[in-house]
Amino acid sequence: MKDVKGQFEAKRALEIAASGGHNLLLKGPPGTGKTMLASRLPELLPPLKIDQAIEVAAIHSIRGNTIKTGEFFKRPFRRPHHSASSVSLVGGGSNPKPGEISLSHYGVLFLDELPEFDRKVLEVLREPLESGTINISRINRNAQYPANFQLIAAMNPCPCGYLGSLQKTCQCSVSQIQRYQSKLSGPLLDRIDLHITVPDLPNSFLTNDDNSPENLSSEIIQKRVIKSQELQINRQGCLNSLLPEKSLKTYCSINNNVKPLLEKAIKIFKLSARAYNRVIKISRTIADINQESEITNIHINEALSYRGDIKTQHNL
Amino acid sequence: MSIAIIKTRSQDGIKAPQVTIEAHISPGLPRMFIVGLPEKAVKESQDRVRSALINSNFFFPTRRITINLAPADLPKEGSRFDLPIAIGILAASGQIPDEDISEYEFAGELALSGEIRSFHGALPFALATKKSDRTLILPKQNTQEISIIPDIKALGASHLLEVCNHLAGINKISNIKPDL
Repeated sequence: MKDVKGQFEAKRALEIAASGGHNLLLKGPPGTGKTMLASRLPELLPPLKIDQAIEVAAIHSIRGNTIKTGEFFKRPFRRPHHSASSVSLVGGGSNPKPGEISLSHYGVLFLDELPEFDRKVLEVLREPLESGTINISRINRNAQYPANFQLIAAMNPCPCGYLGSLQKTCQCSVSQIQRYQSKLSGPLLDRIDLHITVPDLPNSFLTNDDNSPENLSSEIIQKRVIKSQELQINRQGCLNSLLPEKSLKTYCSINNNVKPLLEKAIKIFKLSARAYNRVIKISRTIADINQESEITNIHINEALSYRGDIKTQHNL
Repeated sequence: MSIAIIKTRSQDGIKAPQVTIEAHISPGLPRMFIVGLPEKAVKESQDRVRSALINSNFFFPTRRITINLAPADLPKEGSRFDLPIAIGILAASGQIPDEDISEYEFAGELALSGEIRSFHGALPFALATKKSDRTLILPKQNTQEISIIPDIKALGASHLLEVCNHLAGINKISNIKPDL
């Protein structure tokens, strides 16, 4: 992580994603480090436990991918090209074999250039994102494969890529921008908890090495992630992103200090029930990173900044 | 009775359901029949197995050979059944001893020379073999991927003759080393 210059907001979002198992969308002009950041997520996650490693290796074995000796406990990182078919993504064939979503089980599925993916292909992701498994039915056989993956997606804000850039001006018309952004359906974006912009860096960042204390290595961040994950598991048996709606009252209780801010946010941002629940879960993760038991306004404010709708509405 | 029974497994999702191979050698015109819903690669097994056996200095029985892949209503696919079919024919024709064969499960593709080639899905196979408390005999190239399983009883072989020698008690193959 130290090798990625600047981008502290994005690194913070990555740490939140790692701690709570949240999905993340990185938006920004070309060349700002979105791919580099995404590929760092596996090293922020705790190493696989033995039974998880065996499950991951078994899925890879069916596809003929052998996992090398030193890498058994590393989190999988899959990056399918945007020309991938639904079958390759989700799995299939007459004797169904696992797809990319199963190969990224307990790991990270990275979809670079998200709007370039076929819309139908993206729609098939909705169900496994909710349930963590995929059922493939064929005429003679059914197979169920695990697909408990973390989704990271990256995209440019517009077809030419430079909307909001400091370096170049955007060449796209308003209708082009709207068409591009509407390629992603509301329901899919709704299932991505964290949306963050990865902007151009000021030139000084590019030429100088960053040895400041804020620029942390993956190792240090991983330790924090492990601690906050332990907190979550001890409290509720799973990571925050997997909490069912009915458990939110028990584990993510909001006290009266925080209610006014939330009510205002719901009104102004027109938060759907799902969006509201996601804000609560992210606030819980932010509090857990700080090892704090109460969710406060500070946490809620930060969580609100990661929502998607305001940015798409104002083309940022 | 010249029927040999050899245990192996097929692939169904992440499970590896048991397949029992029955090899029967009987009087009749020299021909091999493979039944039990074999798909293309399994049907082609007979040609690979025949050459592998001959090139390993065994004789290929000039009688009617029936290979049944049970359960008969589960489609079988892939090249992994070459080795168990070959062992079945050798055991049924008395060319290798069959006392301990029921302790083992076999899988692997055979080259015409008798060498054993790797197959896909060795890890789910090995996990299931461990549950049924048998020893797995599989291609050497597949041993690395299953070395993550604690206390797995598995032997890696690179040639049909190595397997036959082991079953005859000569030059026994040692268990794979765990690798965590």
